[in-house]
Amino acid sequence: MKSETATRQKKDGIKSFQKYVNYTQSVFLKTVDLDLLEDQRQGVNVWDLGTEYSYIDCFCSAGSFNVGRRNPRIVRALEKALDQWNMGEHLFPSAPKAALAEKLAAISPPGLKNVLFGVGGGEAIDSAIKMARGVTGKKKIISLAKAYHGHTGFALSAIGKAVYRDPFEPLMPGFSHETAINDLEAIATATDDDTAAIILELVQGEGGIFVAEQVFVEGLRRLCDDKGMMLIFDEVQTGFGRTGKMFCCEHYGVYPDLFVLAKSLGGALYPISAVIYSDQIRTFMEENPELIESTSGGSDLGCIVGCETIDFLLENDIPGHAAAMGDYIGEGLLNLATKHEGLVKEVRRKGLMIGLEYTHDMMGPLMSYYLGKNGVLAIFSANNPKVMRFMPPIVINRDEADKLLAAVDRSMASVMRSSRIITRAVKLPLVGKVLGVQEMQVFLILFTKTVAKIIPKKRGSQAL
Amino acid sequence: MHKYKETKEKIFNAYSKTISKAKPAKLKEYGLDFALAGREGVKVTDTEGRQYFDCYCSGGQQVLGNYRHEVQDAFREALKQYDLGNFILMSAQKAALAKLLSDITPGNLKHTVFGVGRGETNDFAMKLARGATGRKEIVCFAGGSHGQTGFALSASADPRQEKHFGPLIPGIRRIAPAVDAVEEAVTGSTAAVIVEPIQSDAGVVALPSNLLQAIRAACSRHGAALIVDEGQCAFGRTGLLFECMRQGIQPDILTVAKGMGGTYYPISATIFNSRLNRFMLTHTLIHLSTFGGADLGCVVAIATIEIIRKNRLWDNARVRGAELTKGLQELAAADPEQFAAVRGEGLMLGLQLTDAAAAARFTTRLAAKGVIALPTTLDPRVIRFTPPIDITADQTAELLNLITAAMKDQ
Repeated sequence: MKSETATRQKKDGIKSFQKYVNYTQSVFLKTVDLDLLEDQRQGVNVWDLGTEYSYIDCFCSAGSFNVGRRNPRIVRALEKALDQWNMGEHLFPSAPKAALAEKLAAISPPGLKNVLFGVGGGEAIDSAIKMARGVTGKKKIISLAKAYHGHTGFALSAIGKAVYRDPFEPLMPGFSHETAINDLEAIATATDDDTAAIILELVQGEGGIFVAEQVFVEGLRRLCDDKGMMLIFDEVQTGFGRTGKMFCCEHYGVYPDLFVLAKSLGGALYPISAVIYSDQIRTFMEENPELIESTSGGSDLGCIVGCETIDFLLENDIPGHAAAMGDYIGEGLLNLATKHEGLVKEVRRKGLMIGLEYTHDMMGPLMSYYLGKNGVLAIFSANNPKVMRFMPPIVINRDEADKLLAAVDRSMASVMRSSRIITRAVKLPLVGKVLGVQEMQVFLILFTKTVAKIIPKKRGSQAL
Repeated sequence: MHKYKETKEKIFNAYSKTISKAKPAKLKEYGLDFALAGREGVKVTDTEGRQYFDCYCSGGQQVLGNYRHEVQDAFREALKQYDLGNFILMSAQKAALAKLLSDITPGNLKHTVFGVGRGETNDFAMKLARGATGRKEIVCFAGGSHGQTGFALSASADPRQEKHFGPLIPGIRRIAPAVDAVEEAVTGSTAAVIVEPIQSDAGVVALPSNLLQAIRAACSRHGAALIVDEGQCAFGRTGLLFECMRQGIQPDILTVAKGMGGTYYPISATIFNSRLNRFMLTHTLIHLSTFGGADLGCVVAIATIEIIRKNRLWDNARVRGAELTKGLQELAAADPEQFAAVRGEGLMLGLQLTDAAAAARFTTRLAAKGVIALPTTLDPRVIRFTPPIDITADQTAELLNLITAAMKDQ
């Protein structure tokens, strides 16, 4: 829907974003041709304001749109709820809160029937870590290398990537994050009598889609039982059908003491998160009822959206659908990896939580760029540019999946072509000619202007 | 909505089973064991049709009562087009709200990073100050309360938190709210001073003007960032659009949360000047918030702020606040054995009783008359009154009548 008004709106929107939100982010997105402003959103698709372009959303706010964008059933439920409800009163019980808590307890694994609401993922992780420290009376928290848990104080302390933590140190004492996923022995060595909890994502999302192995997860459960430690699963990205089951831990048949839900609980419309926890921890929570509060957490509207989201997923067996579509798209990507030999190092996935690792750092940004041109929104990891996540809405159908795979095919062909140009160009002594190649510019702009700047330099003390 | 029309008994059973037994039990001591079922103007309704005058408002978050339907209309309209939005992309809605915040906040505050709750926005403010200055120390105050997430909790004055959840963030130094303590504590190693102009959870204590001035001066002298936490004050509650305008202290970082989502959508913001933004330009994706500044939330917040501005609701808060203060003072003067003081600004008021037990008893009597107002967490002698800021003169008179009745009903 290209109109003059929309074009102007887009131009003004971008200008304001640069001025009042973040200039570098806008440059970063422009470089990979993803400087769109989201206009219409429907199902797996999003349209750019002021242009004719539409994109299949494979980022989905890192897996927040499992039910699809603007799922009509959930939009209707929220619209209707506005007649009677708003955010409510965080201290007082209400029918929506009770209903969502009951629903979450009903779909959660055995032994996990207690609910604490929050409003964001980071906050819920902070709560879970607090609860683990509180109930055990111990201090140490072990997370994994490459772990990603959020940006609030406790969650940030548990992040496994130094780049997110460094400028803000010193963070919470007692946190360690050196152990790689699936290295049970190293984790066992890292624990001691003062270890309160081990926290992990069963599929590391931001870290690059690394999947925990069955023996590792079983081993962690045993280890925690032996040493009286809490096992915390961060199911913020893996929850609500993303991996082909309602919760990822169901694949393993291994259950934690606490698990954390956010993102897709909000039905792509409303912020809400939750910690689901064991009866042992409930005792601590009942003894200390005023320790953890969240004014905006578990708001009445958020609970109504959460209820409708869960009903939608259950009634349509969307987790089962995600498993089937995960197989289909996963297979398709593997075939494309074979077809465009030398481009993809590995396809890693669980259900529709899919990660492609390319053979070279420059491939990620180039793929983002070409995928954008081919109508797919997929973003490489800023801290590991050769890894790209594909997390489309899990309601994606066969036709849409075929469209997605065709776009990946075309993009891979373009990247193969340009990487040949780059390989050749690099050999030329004439720098000017190298810079004349458009793909090389993309690569250079990206690395000099953005990625390089995201990596913080050592800095001394300085006055404002 | 018929789907959520359960009986009180069913709701309480489910709530006790899955969420908490102790929380409703505590409220039951005050006679406030009801299940919320709806709202009308400045009142809430329970499942049995009883109405309560809401002076708690989810800790001051329910900023609008009578004008609520206007926000509702804006939300309904926004629901025809928007959703959460992709946090990594640019967004016209985020940009528009950020521009509006830049326009209405005092001085040179210009750039916004959005969040979803109050704690998160203070966590980011402290991170930003550390990142921008390369320093570690953060000075906070006894009586301060900034939220429940890691940094915010570390800077809050509730000793139970450190006991159960510590060790917390190192380098955060809590001092007495006094000029000499500030002069001594703020040095060339200070990244930031974080302060609430009115310490709401500590019994609605407005910090004295000379202290706030001294904090500003010390920060400027040593190149530290002044973080003003208006998570509970901003958007008219205290009789001004922003409380820091009263003292003319210019924050380097301002955090806002409650009230911004117009009681319909969780949204918060950290707003800062261009010097601090230099850090964000070189560390673009270092702090992310999936739900923070959702497109729907931005549209709702813009509508809320416009309603507040169009109707100058801060003026209403100041006038109604003065009426309420006067009424409370007269009542308190009549019974000095029970009531010690009335304080606060605008419609963030505290009624101090002689001890915590008296405050609990009076909370119960208020509840019996249909008024919800609760003691503050850090000073349980003080009952806080934070009704919606668009309360009318008649409604204020009605509220005072109910409070008077509660006082006479010994």
